Amino acid sequence: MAVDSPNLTSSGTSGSRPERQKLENWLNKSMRIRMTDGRTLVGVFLCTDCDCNIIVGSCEEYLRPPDSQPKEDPRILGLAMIPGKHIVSIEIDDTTVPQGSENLDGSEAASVSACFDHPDYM
Amino acid sequence: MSKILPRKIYDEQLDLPQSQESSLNMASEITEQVSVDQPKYNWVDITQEFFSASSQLQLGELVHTNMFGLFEAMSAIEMMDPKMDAGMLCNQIKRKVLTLEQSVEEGSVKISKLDHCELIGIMDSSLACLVTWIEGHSLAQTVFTNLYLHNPYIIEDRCLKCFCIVMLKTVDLIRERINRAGTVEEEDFQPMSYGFRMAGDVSDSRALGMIKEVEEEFGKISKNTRPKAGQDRTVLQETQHQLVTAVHIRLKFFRLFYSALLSFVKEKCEGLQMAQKQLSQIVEILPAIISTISFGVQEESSQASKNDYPTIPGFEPLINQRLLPPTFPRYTIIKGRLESVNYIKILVQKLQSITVVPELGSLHTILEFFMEFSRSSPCVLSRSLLQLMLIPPNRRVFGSQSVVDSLKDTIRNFISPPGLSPKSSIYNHAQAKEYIDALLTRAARPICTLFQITGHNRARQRDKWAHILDDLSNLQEEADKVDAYLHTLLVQTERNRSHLACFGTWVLYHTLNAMINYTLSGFELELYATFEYHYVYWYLYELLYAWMVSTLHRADSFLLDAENAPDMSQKGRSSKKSKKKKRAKTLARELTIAQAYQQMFGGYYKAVVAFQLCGKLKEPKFKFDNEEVRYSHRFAPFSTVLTPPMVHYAQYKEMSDLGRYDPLPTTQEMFGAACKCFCQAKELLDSITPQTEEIQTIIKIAKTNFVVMKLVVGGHKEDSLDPPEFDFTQHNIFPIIKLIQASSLPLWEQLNALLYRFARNKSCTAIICSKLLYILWDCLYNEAGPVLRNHTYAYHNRSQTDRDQTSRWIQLLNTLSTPSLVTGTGKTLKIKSQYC
Repeated sequence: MAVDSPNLTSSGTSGSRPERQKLENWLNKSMRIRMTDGRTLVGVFLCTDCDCNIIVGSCEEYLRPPDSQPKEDPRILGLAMIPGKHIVSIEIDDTTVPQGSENLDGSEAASVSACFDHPDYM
Repeated sequence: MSKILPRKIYDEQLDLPQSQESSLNMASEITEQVSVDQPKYNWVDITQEFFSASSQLQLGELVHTNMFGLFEAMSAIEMMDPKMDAGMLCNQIKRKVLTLEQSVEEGSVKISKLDHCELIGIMDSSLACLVTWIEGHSLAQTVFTNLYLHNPYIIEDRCLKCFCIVMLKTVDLIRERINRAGTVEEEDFQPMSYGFRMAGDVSDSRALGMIKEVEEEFGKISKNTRPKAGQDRTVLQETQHQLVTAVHIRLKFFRLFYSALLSFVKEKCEGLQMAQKQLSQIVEILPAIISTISFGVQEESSQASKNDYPTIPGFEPLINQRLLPPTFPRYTIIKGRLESVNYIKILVQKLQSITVVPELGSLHTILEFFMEFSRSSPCVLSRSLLQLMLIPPNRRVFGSQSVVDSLKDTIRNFISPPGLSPKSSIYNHAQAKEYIDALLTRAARPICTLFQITGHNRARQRDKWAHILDDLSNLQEEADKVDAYLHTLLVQTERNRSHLACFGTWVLYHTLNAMINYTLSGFELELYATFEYHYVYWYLYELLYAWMVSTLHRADSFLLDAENAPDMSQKGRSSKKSKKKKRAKTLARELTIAQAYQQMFGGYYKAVVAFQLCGKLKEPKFKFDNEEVRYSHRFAPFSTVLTPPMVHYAQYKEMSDLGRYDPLPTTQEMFGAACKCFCQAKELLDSITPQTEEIQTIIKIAKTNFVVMKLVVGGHKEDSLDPPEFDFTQHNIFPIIKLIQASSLPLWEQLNALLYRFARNKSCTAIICSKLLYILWDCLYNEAGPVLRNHTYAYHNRSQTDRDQTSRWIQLLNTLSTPSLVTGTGKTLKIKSQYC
């Protein structure tokens, strides 16, 4: 077992193994978060902790509710952290192929690379 | 030729004005990219799952991707924190933020039929925004809060339209100039233009033509509505006339301002005379603008929140919020209208003063000007224009002379090396020429950097002076090599002349200047603590200025040699001994100033040592303090310089050890020595003509310090252990040493005490006494100001006899009505008559 600080290793304590796994599966996926003041943030899920503070990369900020007309220009934020207490809802970009067979390599890589190609990715 | 000036690279902007590049509109480009790359998302709500999963984590446990740790996490901006989240405040503003087109449609913003008050208001507010931008705020939050500038082509009112176009072109030109000069840091100026179009498709002449047309129209109306003799006018007519005139002079101002900037840009400094004319015309109309500011439509004085402030129609502070980069929110307070016009006044004055630079002569004189200019803390625009005037983009001095040629002229004036003198035998030697050219080509960059350093803001210069020492040190080595070669050549034909340390001396001069500037900047930036003064002053007195004086001496003697040297280019060596005429080139002034400064710092050094000896200045007793570490840190940049060699701490301690003197000097002797230094400094400075204001200030400081030292020698306050105070208010490098009064005795009370002491000392002669009275009176004169200035007869009648002088002194003291002086027991009067 590595002697790293227990805070940063991926191998957590036994009690939360399946929960951790769920969270780890969501890492690097596009995430959409609605905040308490009505803004929506879209970015790549990078990090979280026990208080549900979430760090997203290549974050874009939308003022109006998603899918409203006319199409809104987002404000580019870059790397942003949302405190857990200001999160209303979290949505993940489900990249699984509808047939049920997990295509983790192709589509996930595609959506990740799309975000990496974004000019403001830090 | 290698690059002379390092260019600052701004990622998002080319440093060409937009009329030379295709108009970018980056905001829309980003939009396009996003909409093209926008992936099709398939959003699935996982809120509850996420909350429950994350709550299972341990305290402090993170789930994160590879390559992402706490270091990266720390740079994330925190949402919903007003200190970091600029977007938060957008939402708190309840009103709608509309673009120009939307506002016009809605009817809240007019594009036609604007009345004069509105025009005046818009122009004045725009000027205020321009000034705020130049002061260092972003374009998005200043100039472009004016909606009219977003799309001036839809404006129907001719006056407003041409004003907007000229304003955009002015902003574009200013931005280009400042970026190109490259002497700004992020605290000085924000170069981003956010992709706003700046009327790039309208040429300069067309824009100027447009505004001139409208200006002339208004001028005609103003003339026609002028009050005519013998004609009754209604208030309305008069107001109308004044309004039209106000608009007219504003149009004139903006036209002249843009034209003046264009004149500065002209190649080879050809436009400078034109610029002078235009600037003086601006100076003439500025008072009229100031007096008519109140005519413009004013903002309502409603409550201003941090991000939102009241504006007149046409201005929207929040219009560009979405364009701002995701940094912490910046609140821009737009300068007041009157303040802005006054700012322009000062700017124009600075610009006027720099138009004479090409006539200054050698690069050394120009460098002196640049340093003096920098000391007045000029704004970003004037600094940039000055830099570009000297070295425009074509890398030639003032656009015409090559840097190497300019250096040759300068060095000839400084030290007149045989290698550059047509009279000398080696002047036409092919190899010598080659070496000299190579050396000067190498020297071009560091020397140009010296000028560039003075273009930065005062605080940043310290680091840059330290940095240039590296380059200068390398140049020094090369210069010494060239000198050695030229020397071997020279002694073959002119045996009694030397070429050693010729170019080397010139480089050394600049190296010493840089070291001195670095050290003195510490005073200006208030970096040194009082307990550091002894080694700082020592370094300046014993090392830097000592070397400087000897360097200038050497250069001066070279100049003298060169003048007296036989003309080897004449065949037949007719030894025409030139008559003893006044020397054409001499470094006497510089030499005297250097000597004077050396004496000043010597005075300070000895005073500080003396204060330490008598316990008034104590050594610090911090736990982790180490003087050697402090010393090495302060002079760290000097360690790369070979000449002069760095004096390390141990050596410094040895050289400054008072134990070397036998017997040990007393505090009285040290104070006396300090006194002499200040006296010497004053005399040296007195001999300089012409005297600048700064030199006069330093003379005053020297005199005051001389008096204080004298007082201390006389035993003044010797029992008190209060530390002296170093007062930098008169001059930020030369402080006035003050002995803080434990009680609040006025100075004349203290003088009285001193007079008593002198009186008791029977060996004091009348001459010394009255001389001292004169000096003390001088000091008092400076301290007590207007009351005493009425009694200047005492001050001026120095040539009169001691008796007269003393009686005048007594009269004067009477008028100060200090009882202890006049009466007490009448002792004072008695004493003085005794010594007359």
